[in-house]
Amino acid sequence: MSKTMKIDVTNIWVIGIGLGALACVAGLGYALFMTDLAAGTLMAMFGGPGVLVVALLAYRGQRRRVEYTEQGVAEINSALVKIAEGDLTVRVPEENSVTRDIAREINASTQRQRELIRNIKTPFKVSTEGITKIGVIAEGQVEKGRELTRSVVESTTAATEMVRTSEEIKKSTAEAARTSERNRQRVAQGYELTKDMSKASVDVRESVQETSKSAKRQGELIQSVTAAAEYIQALNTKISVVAINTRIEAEKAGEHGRPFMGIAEAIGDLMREAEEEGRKIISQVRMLQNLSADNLASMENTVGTVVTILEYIDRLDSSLEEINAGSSAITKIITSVDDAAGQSATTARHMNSSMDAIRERNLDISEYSESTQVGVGSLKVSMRDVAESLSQFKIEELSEAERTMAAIEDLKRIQGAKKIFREDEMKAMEETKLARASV
Amino acid sequence: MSISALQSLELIERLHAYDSVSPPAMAAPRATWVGTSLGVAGVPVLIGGGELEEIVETPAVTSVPGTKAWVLGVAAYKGGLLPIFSGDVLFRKRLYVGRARDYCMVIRRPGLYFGLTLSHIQRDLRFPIEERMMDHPVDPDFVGYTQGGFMYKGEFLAVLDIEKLVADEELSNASAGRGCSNKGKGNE
Repeated sequence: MSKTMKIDVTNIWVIGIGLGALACVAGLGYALFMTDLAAGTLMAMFGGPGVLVVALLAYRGQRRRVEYTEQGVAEINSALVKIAEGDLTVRVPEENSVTRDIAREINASTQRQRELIRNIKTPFKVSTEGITKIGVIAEGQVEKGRELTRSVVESTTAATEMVRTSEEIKKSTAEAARTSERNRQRVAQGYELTKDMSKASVDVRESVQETSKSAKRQGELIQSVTAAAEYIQALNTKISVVAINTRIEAEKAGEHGRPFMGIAEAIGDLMREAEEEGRKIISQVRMLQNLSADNLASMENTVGTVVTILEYIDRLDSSLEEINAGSSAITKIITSVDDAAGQSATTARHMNSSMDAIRERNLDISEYSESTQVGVGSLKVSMRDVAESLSQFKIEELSEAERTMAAIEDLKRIQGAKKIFREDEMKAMEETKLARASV
Repeated sequence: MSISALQSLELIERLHAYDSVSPPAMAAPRATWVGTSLGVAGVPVLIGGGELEEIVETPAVTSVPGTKAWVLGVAAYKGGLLPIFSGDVLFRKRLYVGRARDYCMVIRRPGLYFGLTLSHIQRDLRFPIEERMMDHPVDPDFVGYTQGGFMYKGEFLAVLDIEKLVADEELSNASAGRGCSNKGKGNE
């Protein structure tokens, strides 16, 4: 439609000029046909102005054409300036018939550039998002690596402690094994001692029984001696009675009985000594009898005690056997614990070396992750620069809503920045890091 | 030529006489109390010389009904009859259950002739008369029949006065009479 309109406007001037020239020729012919004026005069009268008008009209038309062309060029220049500034959304008007083709080419070119930039931007956006994700993952990987390093360090420390504990257990079990072995030997000695004690107790019992028989015999003898002593004492009493009666009779006899009185007194003196000695003998024999009875009772008690001791020895023997069996079992347990502690120590050492290797590998991974993070950061910066460069190419007109959304995204980026910590929080975090590092 | 022991003593006497060595002065004879140490009802007592007729083994007795508890019975003794009294029951005034008394002392006084059982017999003893203690406490059952005593080997021996004993109305009448019991007879 506009193309059609442009073609018509361009030919108006030619048509006007043609019509003017035709009007001039027609006026000149009519004047020549109707009037007697000379042709030259008429020519001069009408031809001159007509030519002038035609010339003016031609000049005007040319002038308008030039202006029209300059307008198209100016529009093209203006569009090229905007394109040079990166605004690919500019569109060169194609109404100008002179610059229409150029404008079309330029518009087509900008269209292709827009499409090209759009085609670049879309995967670029995807790449940027991917790189951002990679950066986040690398950052998380670094953090995880650090945590893993800390865990590995803690595990290594725990494994070292485990090795130390296992070695201590091993030492303790070795000491316990030695102690148990000594105890077992002592129990074996005690076992032999109980056998000897048992034999000795049997001998003691037999000996005490023999002694008890002798003591019974001794008691019988003492009993007979006591009876004899009592009989002697009774005889002493009788002699005393005889002496007393002798003295009484001597007193009755008066002077004639004086010798008998001396005899009676002598007998009395002798009897006093004999009676005292007899009393001592009886007392001592009774004491001996009591002692013999006590000895007999003591021997019986001794026999009972020896029997009890034998029972205790039997119990002790069985207890020692049980202790011996228990000591052997404890020795086996200690040996197994010792082996287990040794295996645990070996395993802990292996684990420790593995942890060291893991820690080293993890450190390498952390370094690689950090390098990756640095690379991703650089890449992000480059991508951001490229994005900024690409964003300088304005390929679409932003609507008001899109401008608002872009502003919101910018604000989100600002809000999404890392948290700004206060000084005390930062110091606390540094101290926590130092503490973790020391652990 | 040896000399006998008597000749040696005589020679020594002559030598002492020759040397004008005066013989040792004889100490003045001390007045002594002579008696017999006995035991009655377990209490050691002294019986003065001449107060005892004799000490004999307790003879077999025949109990006499209607007599007091301390009368054990009548025994045949030297062709006659001798009443035998229990010293334990007489002094302690209660039944005696214990070892048989093997000896008894025979006491003869005008109108009274009996034997009293003894718990033990010691011997004749001789004490200086000045050592007699008149105020020493004695067994309560013997208080009325003693007259002082002597200390012998840390033990006080009360002197049993037979005169006081025979003067006791209880001893002078052996009949049980009314209200009297003859329980305890025949224990010895």
